[in-house]
Amino acid sequence: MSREPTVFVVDDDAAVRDSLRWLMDSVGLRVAAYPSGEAFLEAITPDRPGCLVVDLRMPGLDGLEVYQRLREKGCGLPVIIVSGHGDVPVAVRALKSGVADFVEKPYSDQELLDCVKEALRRDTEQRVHKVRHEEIATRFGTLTPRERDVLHLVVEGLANKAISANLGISLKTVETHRARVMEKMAAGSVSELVRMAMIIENQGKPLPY
Amino acid sequence: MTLTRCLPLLLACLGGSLAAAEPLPITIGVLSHRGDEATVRNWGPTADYLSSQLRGIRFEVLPLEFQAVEPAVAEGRIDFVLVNSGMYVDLEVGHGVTRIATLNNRHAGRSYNTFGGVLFTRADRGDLTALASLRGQRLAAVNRVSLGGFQMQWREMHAHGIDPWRDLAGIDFANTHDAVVRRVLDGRADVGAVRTNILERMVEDGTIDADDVRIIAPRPAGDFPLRISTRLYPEWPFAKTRGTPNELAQRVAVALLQMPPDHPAALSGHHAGWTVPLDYQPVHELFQDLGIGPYSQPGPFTFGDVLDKYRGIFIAGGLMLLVVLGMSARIIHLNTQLERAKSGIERRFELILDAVGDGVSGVDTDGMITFVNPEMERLTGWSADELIGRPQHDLLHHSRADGTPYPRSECPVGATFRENRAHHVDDEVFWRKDGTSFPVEYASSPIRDREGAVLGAVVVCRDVTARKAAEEAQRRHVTEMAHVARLSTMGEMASQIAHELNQPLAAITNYTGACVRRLQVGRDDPGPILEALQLVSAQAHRAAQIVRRIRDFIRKQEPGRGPIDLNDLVRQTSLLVAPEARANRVGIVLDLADGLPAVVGDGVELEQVIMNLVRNAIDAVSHNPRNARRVTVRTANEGGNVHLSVVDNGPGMDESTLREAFTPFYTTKVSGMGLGLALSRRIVEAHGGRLWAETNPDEGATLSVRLPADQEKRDVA
Repeated sequence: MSREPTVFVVDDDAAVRDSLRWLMDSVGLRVAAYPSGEAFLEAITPDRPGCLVVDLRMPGLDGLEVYQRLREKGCGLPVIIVSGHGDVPVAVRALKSGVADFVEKPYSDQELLDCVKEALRRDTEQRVHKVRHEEIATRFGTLTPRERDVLHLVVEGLANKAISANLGISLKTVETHRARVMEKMAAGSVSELVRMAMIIENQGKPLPY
Repeated sequence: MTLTRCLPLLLACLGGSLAAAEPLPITIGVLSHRGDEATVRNWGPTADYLSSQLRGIRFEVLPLEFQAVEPAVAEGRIDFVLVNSGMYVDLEVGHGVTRIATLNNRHAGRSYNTFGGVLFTRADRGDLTALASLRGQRLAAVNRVSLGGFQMQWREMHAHGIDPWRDLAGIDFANTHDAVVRRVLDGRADVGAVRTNILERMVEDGTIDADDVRIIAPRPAGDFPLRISTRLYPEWPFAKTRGTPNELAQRVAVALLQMPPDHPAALSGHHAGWTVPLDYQPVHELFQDLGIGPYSQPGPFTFGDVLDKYRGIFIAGGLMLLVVLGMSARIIHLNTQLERAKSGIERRFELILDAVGDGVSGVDTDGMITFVNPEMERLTGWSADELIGRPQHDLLHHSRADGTPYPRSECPVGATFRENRAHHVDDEVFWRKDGTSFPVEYASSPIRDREGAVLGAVVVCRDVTARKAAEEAQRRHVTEMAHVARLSTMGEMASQIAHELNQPLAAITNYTGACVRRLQVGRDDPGPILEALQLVSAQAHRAAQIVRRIRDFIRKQEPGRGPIDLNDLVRQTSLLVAPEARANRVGIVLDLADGLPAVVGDGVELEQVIMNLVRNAIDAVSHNPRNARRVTVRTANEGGNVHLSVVDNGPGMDESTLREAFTPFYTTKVSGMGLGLALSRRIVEAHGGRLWAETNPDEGATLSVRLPADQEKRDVA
């Protein structure tokens, strides 16, 4: 699978679908277009970067449903829902449920392209973030239980002496563990170690012991 | 007495000598169906209200009994008229009165602008429940021309095969609603007919007890809050008479519409102010059903009917003849006396012909007029002397309605004695002496001698100008209503249509945006740019098509008639409703028969019927689960007829909906006027077809239209 970002277009109207392909192509974006939400969901995998432009009103799955199924599949792809006039209540619902953007027809091509570029930027950022998180988690996985204890106390700001007292081990042993933690986590300083701990915690899960 | 009340009196006294300067009051004739006193009490405040709103003009109320209304309008004695909807329709056709506002009635704090009729009996008459049980009973009604107090009930009886004139023990017209109620409670009548809200009001003011009376054949009427035995009709209109200036009528209309529902004038009239004038179509339909009012027409008539109609006179004449014959046998030698008697008979037959209300003339086998009656002279403007002995066809019948010559060889009167059989014609004109013409209905019957040889023909004719005008007004009315309904349909569909237009517009935006960007960065290879521009052009065309379909649909047009392919109309309509179907996730299946014969009619109106049926069906299935909303439009060729059905798999129609579905103002929807099906049926019937509803045996309902196939087309095919 290619790692180049793709704009996925889902619209039941052949002309709209085709014209979006032209528009994206004109600014050098890769496009993959599908006539229905079902066809798109069949083809998409979480590792594909890009964003989704989907029409709200379609026979079969509508735009919001495609969004929900996408999330159920574990795809974090940013979603832009295109709607007709007068779908304000649906728009509100969409924004509340976390859809990236909502574009009302008739739209200007620049407006849509801006939305797409913003969505792609966010996708890249999310993916970078995700890669970083995975790296840190991998490193964290190599720590022994005792080293994790030390890491937690270091992050809480305890001095070596206090850690030694807290864990009931010698100061020397604490220093050894601490050096191993810094090395395994590839942390240049304590503040860097704290940031890594926060990245893992920010994912909503407590640090595993 | 307060100063403000004194002031006008004071001024009036001072101005005694200036009386001539005071303008004549504007008179509002009001039907006095609950007695003159009540009329002045109820409507006087409305006149006062108008006087206060239109400065310098004084309004007053003139109570009119049922019989007094028409003369008052005809003689121009009143400027405005407030009568029941039935009398209004009659005055509209007959005397050119025009409605300017419709009453909002009030009951239990709610206002509504329709009303109906009630049939009731004393509570202890347990034997009277259904309409059928009215046979042989004595009916008290308000007046022969009272809509809510007789004609509405008549229509319901008529629909159940009861002729009130024949099947009831008798009808007492008590002239006021209150008198009807008293007669029923006294036991002088078995059944009473009054308008809705009369019984409720009498209970309210304590005149009667709610337990004293029982409603016969009560009907459910949706959210109509009163007890009712008949269909619903629009409320009383406030109308201007022909001579009243439009400018004054407009000011009065504005003042009425601005009357707050709780204004003292509204309260004393027991109503809730006024609304824009309603459609009086349901009243027209009632009159058509019963063949009364402007639609009274005895149907095709013959000389025999004339004999029947004037039987009394003929019998009298016949008896006289017998007496004279008896005398002549006894005194045959008294020739002079016999001669005198004979001339007496002739004179009497002349009197009979004079008394006949239709034009009568005799024609011999050469087509020469042999006699005419005075009505014939009056109709044609020719005197008897000018007509007798001259060719009937050349004088009265020389040209057709459009002015083209009418060859004598095609004249139905001539055909009468050539073919020795009667002819009935109702679509020709007769020409007057002054060169004008009038639409005429006539019957031409052969006159035979004792041996059966044809001597000539008798032509009995009638001027049907008024009837044709009523029919024409009616037709125009349907056309206008249809146009309004189309506009309102489009209004309801506006957001779907906007969505539909947005598709090609979005595509155009995208394609052109792509071209601009390619050119900006130097990707100016003409091949792709050209291709994109062609795609733009196709989308612009697509948008134009959508606009054209809408414009064709809402176009106001003179009714046109031509051969129409119903399959084409169905395809057009399905394109128009596609956005709405998509929005409601309804699948529309077209099942169209090959080689369907054409029908003759007005394409726009028939498209409106199909649109209406399909939209109703979409509405019916919209509560089904999402993947089970199906509407099928089917056409079929049924030997001489074209059949169109719209089948849905919704909840179907219950008994009461099936019964009421075609009643104007009946609706089960939250929005809409409730005129769709009633109007559709009128359109289909105007095309010589039929429209009906059925509940399907398995699920849902089917609405069917049957239209006669175009004769010529079928013969060619």
